[in-house]
Formats: sequence, structure tokens, C-alpha cells
Amino acid sequence: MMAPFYKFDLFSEEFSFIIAFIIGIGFGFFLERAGFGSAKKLTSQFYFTDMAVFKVMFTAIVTAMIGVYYLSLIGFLDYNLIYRNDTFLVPQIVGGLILGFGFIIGGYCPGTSLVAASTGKLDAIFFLLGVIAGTFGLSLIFSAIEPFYYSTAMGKLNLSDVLHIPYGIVIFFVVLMALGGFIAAEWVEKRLASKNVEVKDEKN
Amino acid sequence: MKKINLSTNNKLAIIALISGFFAIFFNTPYESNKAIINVDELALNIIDSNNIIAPIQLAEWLIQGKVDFRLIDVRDEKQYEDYFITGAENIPLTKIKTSELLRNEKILIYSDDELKTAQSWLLLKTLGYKNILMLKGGIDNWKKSIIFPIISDSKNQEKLIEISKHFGGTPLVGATSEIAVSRELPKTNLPKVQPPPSSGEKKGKPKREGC
Amino acid sequence: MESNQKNERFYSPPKPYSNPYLAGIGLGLVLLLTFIIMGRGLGASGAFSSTLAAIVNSIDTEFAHNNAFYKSYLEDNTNPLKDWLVFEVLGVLFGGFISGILAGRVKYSIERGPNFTDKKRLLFAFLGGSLMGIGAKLARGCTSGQALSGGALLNFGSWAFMLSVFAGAYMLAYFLRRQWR
Repeated sequence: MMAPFYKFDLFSEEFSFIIAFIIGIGFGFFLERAGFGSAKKLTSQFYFTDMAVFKVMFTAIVTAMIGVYYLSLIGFLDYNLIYRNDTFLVPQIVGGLILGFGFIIGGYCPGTSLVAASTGKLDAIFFLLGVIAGTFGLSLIFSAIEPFYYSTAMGKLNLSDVLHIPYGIVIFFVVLMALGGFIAAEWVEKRLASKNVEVKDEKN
Repeated sequence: MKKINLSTNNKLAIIALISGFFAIFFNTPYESNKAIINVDELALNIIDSNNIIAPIQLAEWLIQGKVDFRLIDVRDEKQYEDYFITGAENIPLTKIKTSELLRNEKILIYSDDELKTAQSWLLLKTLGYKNILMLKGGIDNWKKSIIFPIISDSKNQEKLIEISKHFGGTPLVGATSEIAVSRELPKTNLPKVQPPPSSGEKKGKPKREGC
Repeated sequence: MESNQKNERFYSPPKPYSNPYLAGIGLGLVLLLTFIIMGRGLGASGAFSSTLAAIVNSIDTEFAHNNAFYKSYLEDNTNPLKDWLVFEVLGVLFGGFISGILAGRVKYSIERGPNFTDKKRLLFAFLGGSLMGIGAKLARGCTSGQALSGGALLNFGSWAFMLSVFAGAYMLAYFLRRQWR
């Protein structure tokens, strides 16, 4: 076991900030490559015309998931040392819904709005200001919602604990689900594209 | 043989499918109880006595408010509730594996006695904790030398008396060394220690790892 | 027509976006590298909270220290901006910019559908951002921290969160179609 490097004291906290910046560059680069600097491209997901959000997200999840799994198996990476969020089921579901509303209204999520802002989208800058304003608004009433915020605490829990299925089998199912999703996404895109062509033809 | 042309996407899909499929046959990585020991490093660590801290040293650190280390009580919860050294957090040995202790933190551990403390030290070492110190003699020794110290000559040991009182101890002034050997530690009048103000939030932990 | 041609002489047209699967693998490898090097995932919304905590703290220290929300950012007495995510987010800005320049996609614009005004679009962007700030705090993360990083670790809460994000967006998509279509 030698990874995660940071938790084995291979470098200092200060150096980790340099790493943060470099990793951030990679993150931002691929987000932009995927077209996530465009609100139109992002929101097309929700009109079934361009399923790139789903495709990119699930490819990334599957890639990292398989990587973490096999690196843990060969004893290189200690899975237990990777930080995992505790589960607070109900606040996370409610938060997810609100975030979904914000996504379709605002057109971005926090990470993608950064990429959009750096490529010159004025609406993304307004979105960023909105995120800070919303967080500030929440902080004012935070003491009132604190009981809800900490409700349904379930600790660190993964899908294999919940479903009582071995971790490896969950991985297989996630891969199958993602591949099935990709096939469906390609099919939907193709169908809508041919429909659009027909509409255009009629106009002409 | 017919040559099959696959698009990039199809190739990727096949790779994903194969790696997903083989995952079925392997273990769950996070259930692994194995630890890998670097024998040479461990041997050197055992020879090195710098990782043994005397109770008086710890007492001084605590009074000075030294914060570059975490004091961890590895006994079980009940023993911890009965008494613990001021500022210590409780992480029972059985829960060390899933705890959020960092491998690079300076950690001072103690258990009941010298033997158990040393065993716990070894376990943490094999789990890859780099900077583990142990309290010499465990909490028994702490009680003997800080909480109920035998002080034969009060003039020369005012400092020890002061330290002992700081931790709510009762120095036994004027007692002879014979008593010291045979005495039973008073169990009933152990000082009550306030639990750390925010037992959930640890000082050494990197803040906010989430999104 | 003529002006279009003129423009093309000065600006090369934006290159098409990458194959989503390849971009996804790139993103997944960055995430995997973060796990290996740092033992944590990627994020974004946390950096906004840190920034906000720093701003509030500089305006009214007493208020910030008495507020349960900011306390966790301030209690160790270091600058909240000295945070891993803040540096990561600076990198994201830079990385997005590099990729945009290389592909000829850096251009001042307001993204909206043809039948939507700029003013309304900016208002909606701000509103959506506010909701995002609230939602991300409740969910302990946004699409990068929870859905992507937590999803790859098969976190139960992250998957529940991911599904509800998609559900929430699809629920309102019909009513907002004029903004985008």
C-alpha cells in the first residue's frame, strides 16, 4: 500500500495546493473538451437532443470506479483512506432536487459554470454570483434548518452495503447499466436528429 | 478470417464490459484485512526509543497546549468513559481501521498498560501510520506518576505537585517508597475529566474534504 | 453572407467538441489520479462556501464566528481560502480557458435560446445559481463532489443524490424550454 500518497505523508499540505491547481487544470480542460462550458449543450440533456452530460458523467464514473477497484485489489491503493462523504439520505435527496431545478433554470452546475465563465459566458458569471448569494441566504437561516440538515444520518454507506451484494458485482451492474444507457442515449439522439431533419425538409 | 472493424466507442465498451465482468470474481477491496509490513523500517522503529513518551513529558505538552499531535485513547468506550487523559480522543482498536486518522499525523496513543500500548503501537504501524508515539506504561503509569504521584521530598518536587494538581490529581506527599510499591491505586477518587469540547471535530484532521 | 466570410478570415471557427466517451475517460482518469494522489475526490461548490466564509469573515468577524454555518470554516483560525478546493477551482478556471483557446471557443456571449431576452437569461442564471448554492449545501456537494467523486466510490448518498438531480431537472425542463430551445 502506498496510495493515497497524501495520506502517507509523501508531501506537505502546501505542496498539495500546487497539486490541486494542476488537477484542477485537468478537470477544467476535460470539462471544456466535452462541451460543458456551454449551457445549451448541458441543458440539451434534459430535452433528449444531446445526451453528452449523461455519457461523459457515466464514462468518468465507470473509469474511476474500475481504476479504484483494481488498484485496491493489487494492493496499491487503500480504499479505506479515500475520503467518502457520510450519507444523510433525505437532505441529499431534497438537495439533489433543488440542485436539479437550479441546473435547468441556471443552465450550469458549479464546476461547469467555472469553465463557462473562463470561456467568456456572461450568464455563467451571473450564475457564479448566484451560487454565492444562495449559499449566503442559506447561511442566514442555517440554525433553523440544522435539525433537517443532520437528519437521516447513515454514516459511510456504499451501494454494496445497502443492496447486500458484493462490491465486484455492483461494479458489474453499474458497467452494464452505463453501457445500456449509452446505447439508449445514442438511439434517442439518432431518432430525434432524423425527426429534426424531417421537420426541416417540410419547411423547405 | 473475416476482419471485424470496431469503432473507438465499441472498443471502449468492450474494455469496460470485460473489466466489469472480472470484478465479479474478486474480493471487495475495502473488506480487506491484510496489511503489508516493511520489516526493515519496522525494526528500526522498534529500536528507536524516541517514540516512547514519558507521562511527565506528555503532561508538560498538554499544559503548554501543544497541538501538533493527537492524543488517542485506544481502549474501549467504557474504559474511556471512566477516565481518560484530558484532551484524549477515543478510538477503540477495533475501530482504528475505519477511523479517519491520517497516516501522516503525529499520534500519541495509550492503552491500559505498557504491554497493551506497545501492541497497539505495532498494530498501527502495520496499518501504515507513520508517526506513532506511545505513552510509556500506558494509562496505569500516567495515574501512578501524574495523578497519584508519591512525593517523598516535597521541596524538590514542587513542579510535579503543580502538574499533578493541574490534572486534578492528589499527590501523596511524604509517603515512603515501600508504600509506593505495594499500594493499590485509589479507584474511586479519580478526577472527573471533561470530554473534549467537540469530540466529533478533530484538530489534526484536514478540514472539509467533501465538495 | 459577406460579413460572415470576413469573420471567418479573422477567427477560425470553433472546433467541434470531443467524443463524449473520450472526454469522459479523460475526466475519469483525472478523478482517479486525485484519489491516488490526494485520497479525496474533485469538487467545486465547497470552494464557493470557503470564499463566502472568507468574505463574510472579513466584513463582520463576530457575525461569522457566531454563525453555525461559517464556524466550521473558521474554527481552526486559518484563512478559509487556504483550502484544497479553492486551489483546485482556480485550476479549473485556467484549464477551461486553455482548452477553450485551443479549440477557438473563448468568446464573449450569453447562452440562451433564440426567443429569450438577455436580461431574463441573466436573471435566470442568477436564480438558478442561488438554488444550486442551497441544494449543494444541503446535499453536501454538487455534481462534481457528490455525483462524480461519490458515484465512482459507489456511495449510497451520492447515487441517491445523482438520481434526484436528474429527476429535478427533468421535472422542470418542459417549463423552461423557451430559455434553451
